[in-house]
Amino acid sequence: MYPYSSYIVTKVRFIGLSHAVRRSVIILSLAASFAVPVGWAAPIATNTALPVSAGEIIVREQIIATHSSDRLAGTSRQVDRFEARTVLGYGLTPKLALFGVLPLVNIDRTVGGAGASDFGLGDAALFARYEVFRSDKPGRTFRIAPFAGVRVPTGRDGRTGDGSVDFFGGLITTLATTQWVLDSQLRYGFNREADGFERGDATSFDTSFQYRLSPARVAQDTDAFVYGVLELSANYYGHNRVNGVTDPNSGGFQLYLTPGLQYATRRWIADLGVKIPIVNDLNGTALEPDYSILTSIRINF
Amino acid sequence: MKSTILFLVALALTGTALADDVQYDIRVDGITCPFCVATSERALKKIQGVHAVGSNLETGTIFVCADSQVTFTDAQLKQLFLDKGFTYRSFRKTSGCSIADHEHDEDDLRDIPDDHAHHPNAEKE
Repeated sequence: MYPYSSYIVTKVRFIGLSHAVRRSVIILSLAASFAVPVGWAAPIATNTALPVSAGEIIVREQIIATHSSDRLAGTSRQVDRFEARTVLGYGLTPKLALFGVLPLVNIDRTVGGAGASDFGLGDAALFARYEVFRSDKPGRTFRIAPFAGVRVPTGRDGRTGDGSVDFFGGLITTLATTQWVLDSQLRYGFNREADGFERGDATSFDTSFQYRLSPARVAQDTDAFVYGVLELSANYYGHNRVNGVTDPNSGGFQLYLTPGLQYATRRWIADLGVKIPIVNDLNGTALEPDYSILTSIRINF
Repeated sequence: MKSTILFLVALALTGTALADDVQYDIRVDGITCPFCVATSERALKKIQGVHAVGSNLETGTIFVCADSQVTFTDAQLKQLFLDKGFTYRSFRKTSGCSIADHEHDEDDLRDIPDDHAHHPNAEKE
């Protein structure tokens, strides 16, 4: 039995292409789903430590479109990944919030003249965030909140998910005023093996700066803010292992910049950003992303 | 003449209704955006007798217009804002209410200017 079961399915479709080319496209098209941190957030692509009130529900619907392409040994490779991610946040207590993330994904892979597509549920994630420190002033707050969670294999093994139960955790800090917000997050993902495939562990540091562009001054009838957003995301991925053997064409380092805009009202927040890789230093023949477009709307109930 | 008398009676009744209202100016720390303050405003509006709620994010003040029978305590407000994830500091109660909108409609919430807290009818409890 091949260690990565659904790899066989896609492998047949790409028959005639070199082994390294096929494998890197398949595995990296899955890895793209984890390039963007999960979770409800005030920033666009990272988390916040701002509270979810006790008993309150927040729903976020996020669309993420990622395009990756290159040429390897004269063969063009392209992966387009479209993800609709539903995030549900619930304030269990004033300090403890629970989150569930369920992605629906479509992945189009093209290598040379051959193509394959997968559509379905991705791997879901559940996590908890607990506020351990808070300092509030008039129109200002600083908060620290660690988080921990699990990603479960609700996706199709090797196609829209990687089949393993993985764990992750980290720390979020948020410094917010009525004029600007600074969120930072350190995250570690501990990935486990399933069907002979083990994705490398992932470490990331994200920071997001949101500056109120409008109105210039908060006054009577101010019902909404427009923020300009700039986010920086550094990600380090360990090597994947297939049947206990390290894959040299996996893992590496990426640095992203995400400029964007956000419109925040009393009831809902909408945002739009473009995630651009500044440093793409993945190992071997790994396919590197060109850009991601992120947009979302979140509503509190 | 008759219509004038009716008008004056109506005016007097309106004045009485306004005089029966009270306003609470509640100092809350940690609120920084419209999205953040919304849940607190909704919780306050659910209290029976509360007509209108507004806020000034810069000063961290939430304004509540209510019937005179409505009485808040420090303990009650502390718990309410604790549940919402913010820090209650203090409140000031004044007679009369200058929040014009008494509709129970979320969309009609308005920020109140800074000078509202010093309106002529203000009186410290």
